[in-house]
Amino acid sequence: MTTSSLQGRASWWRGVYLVARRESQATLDSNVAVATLIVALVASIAPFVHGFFLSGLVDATPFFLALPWTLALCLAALSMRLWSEDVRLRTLETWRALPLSPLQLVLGKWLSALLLHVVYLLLTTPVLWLLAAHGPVEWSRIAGGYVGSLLLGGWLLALGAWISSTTRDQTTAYVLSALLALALLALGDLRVWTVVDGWLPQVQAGSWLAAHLSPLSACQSFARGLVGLDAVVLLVGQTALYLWLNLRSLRAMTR
Amino acid sequence: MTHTGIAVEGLRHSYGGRPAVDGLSFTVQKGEIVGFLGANGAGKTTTLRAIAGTLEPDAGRIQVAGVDTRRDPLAARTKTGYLAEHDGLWDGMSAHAVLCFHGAVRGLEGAALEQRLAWLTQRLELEPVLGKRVRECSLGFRRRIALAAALVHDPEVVLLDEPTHGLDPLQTRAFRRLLLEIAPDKAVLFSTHVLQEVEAVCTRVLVLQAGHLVLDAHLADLRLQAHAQRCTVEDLVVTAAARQPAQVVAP
Repeated sequence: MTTSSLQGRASWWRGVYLVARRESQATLDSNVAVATLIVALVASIAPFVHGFFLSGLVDATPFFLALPWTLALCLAALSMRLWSEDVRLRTLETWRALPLSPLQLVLGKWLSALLLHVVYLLLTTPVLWLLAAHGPVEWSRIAGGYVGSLLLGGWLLALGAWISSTTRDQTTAYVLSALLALALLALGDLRVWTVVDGWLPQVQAGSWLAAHLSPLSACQSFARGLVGLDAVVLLVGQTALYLWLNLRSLRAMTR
Repeated sequence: MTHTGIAVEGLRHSYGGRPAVDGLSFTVQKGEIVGFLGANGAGKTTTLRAIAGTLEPDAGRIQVAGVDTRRDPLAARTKTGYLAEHDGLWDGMSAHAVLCFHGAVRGLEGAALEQRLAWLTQRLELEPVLGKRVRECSLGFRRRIALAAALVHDPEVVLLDEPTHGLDPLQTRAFRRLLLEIAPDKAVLFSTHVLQEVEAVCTRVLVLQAGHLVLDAHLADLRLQAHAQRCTVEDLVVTAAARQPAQVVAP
């Protein structure tokens, strides 16, 4: 049998890029992305601006401290369709018939959502102009805040993509992703982990979970301009874990 | 280098403990158009999905154009064109964007891609819908767009799951012409419920029943047999489909 010159495949990274581009177009086509961006911008900027004019403090920390909660609710709306839509529309089979590895698919879809998160972060920069216009700004804190928000976005989207691969219903994917993200964030809150510690004082489960599972303290240190290696490792490590779970889930779907 | 188009050996797959395909073995050679027949639930789609690589079978060995689908699934998929039972098209994309995407993933770009798209557009009469979104296309056009996507890379192995479902008689004839045109250097396996379709284009027929192969015969032999027994090919196929799996007829 002769081999046609047309039979080949795109390079590994071009494959990832093509998946990401297709998914970004599909997300924008659904209008959910635009609505989510608007809601996220209003929900994060409006309270900060209100607080800024009341206090008069030239400090971006409150903005970045509140961001994890807003993002937990908003990014779930971006990640909910990543896989569940393919299962519902039966396009998962199309993906699997193409010469793309499961890792290329998982990364491409995750990167497409992350790109929209980057767009969101760029659209929040008017906050900086506002601060800079009213006094000296601590740029290291702001840079730390943005690095933390980017990493947290990746974490939330990886979690949401994994949840999306476990259900065909987008609403279920949204609710589960948002609830799980909020629960994991809440575990890092002092008021929550001290209560959990109180249940089993000898185990100190609350403080252990807050330190090893919840990304909240990592985000709080980023918001204060402290870019610690342990915080980066926690967020990047858990992002990799959720992407790996997504891969496992994708493989299970083909059995 | 020459090798078998499709080689399936001991294929097994179950859904929740219920066997869908049970120890299936067959080959399809280059230049053959093989009709895959059987009642609903006989295991046709499961077999096609396993060959296409969209389903990981419980057991068995599959080779596509000489490539083991388990050892090198991506290389196997570069040689395979698969039209799924459901179109599997992304509704929001235009027909042209769908075809360009499939081509790009398969490493096609520039003049080679344009040339191939022009050929497929002409053969499948897709011109009127190229700029339309898939969701705005009729069932017949959706089927043809999906077929074009499956053939965009001129695959050595073509797997078609009910390809004429939704096509009108004229479109069905155009599809048959295309199949006969591309078949000489390809191994084609397609499932259908329409026996006339098999008689019109196939060289060989495989009949599945409850996940087992109950008939594997060349159409010319079946015609001779039908003539001798004063019955139709359809009678022979229907009799085979009702046969117990142990009574397999070899080609």
